[in-house]
Amino acid sequence: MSLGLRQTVSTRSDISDAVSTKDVLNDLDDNSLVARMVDGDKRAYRVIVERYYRGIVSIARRMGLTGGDAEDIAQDVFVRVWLHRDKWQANGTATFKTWLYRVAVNRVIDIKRKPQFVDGSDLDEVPDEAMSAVDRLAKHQDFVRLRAAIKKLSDQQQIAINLFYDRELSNQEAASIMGVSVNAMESLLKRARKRLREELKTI
Amino acid sequence: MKIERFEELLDQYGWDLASWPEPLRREANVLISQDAHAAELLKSLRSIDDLLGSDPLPMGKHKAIDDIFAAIEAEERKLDEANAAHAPVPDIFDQPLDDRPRSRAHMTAKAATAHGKSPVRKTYPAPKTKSPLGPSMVNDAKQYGNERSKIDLSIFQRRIFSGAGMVVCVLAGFVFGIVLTAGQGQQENAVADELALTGLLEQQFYGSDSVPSSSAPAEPVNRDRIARDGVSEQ
Repeated sequence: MSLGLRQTVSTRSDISDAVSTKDVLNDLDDNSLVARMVDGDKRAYRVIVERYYRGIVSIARRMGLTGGDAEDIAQDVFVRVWLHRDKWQANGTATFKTWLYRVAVNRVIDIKRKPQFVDGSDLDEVPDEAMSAVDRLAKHQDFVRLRAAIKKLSDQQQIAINLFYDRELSNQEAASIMGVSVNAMESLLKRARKRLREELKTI
Repeated sequence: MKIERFEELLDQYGWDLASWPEPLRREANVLISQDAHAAELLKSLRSIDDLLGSDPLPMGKHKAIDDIFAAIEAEERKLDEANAAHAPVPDIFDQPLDDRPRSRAHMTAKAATAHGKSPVRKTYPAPKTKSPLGPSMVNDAKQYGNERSKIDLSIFQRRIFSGAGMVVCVLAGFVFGIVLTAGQGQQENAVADELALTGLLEQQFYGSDSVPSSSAPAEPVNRDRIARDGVSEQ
């Protein structure tokens, strides 16, 4: 077998090994991946990032950040989590997912409290290309109205609404991220919905 | 069910009837079928619900994930560089700059601890540490100290004696001066007495010729003239 052919076979073998390893990692649950991450396994951490990047950016955008800022927040959160991975301690009250979301929510709150923060949530709607122009315009107007109503809620109510409507999170997880019980979360949501309904009537 | 109760349940269980408990959902459906206002309210809230639940992020963000790992690599490089900057100096540079004698090696760790913020004090021994000098040097120092005290006493005594000598000399000079002056005074007095006596004798022996008459007034005796005349005449 010539040297070039041997190298080609070897490269193909490496690629197939990497693909199979990634498949194996994708099948692992969060706890196993996090254990590998704490040991310094970057491939495992990449699977975690791919699993939650979308949710972190989504929650940041829901909370009023523009697309670019939301992606910056997500990057910042994932870099920090990797650099401080040895501080992660699994316990019964919080999962890695809720801890990750809590870090992201706190980071967004920090950013929004800065004086130079510009709320771009009204300007940064992602239009659905499948809709007609009229429908898109109507949806955009509804979106602007909704965002204006949400801004009038308290901070806690805003976070509760944003977490509740995140498809990636259950009520239990949303409550855990906020650090409250499920009952308290439902009570908060009830008040938020009532206030939001009233605000939408006036806008 | 009334509309107020319906609104309250919307706030409690959400704007999607699918999430409501089954008995309440049945009652709500009855109300919606009978009350146009309730139906309109539910429709508008469902659209808001859909809007809230819509996913704001399109798919396909692998480039962003690559950026995250590039940022992680960059941060790790920074940390490595920072750690390298604070790492211990290599052995070749680890030689002590202190070239003082190794006799300080017996110092205890406690004695060598820092007493202040100054780097000089950090390397200086504590006051209670054992003296780095050897016993022979200590004895030499004691002996030298005794000798030195003797020398000091001798110098002191010499200074006392020299002072007393000076005083004695001054007093002796003073007495000598007085005695000399007294002797000179006596000689002058003796000469004066002698001159007076001589004058008296000259007057006695040569004064008859020149005795004035009783009618003429007596000329005062000029001692110098008497002497000149006497000499010239002699």
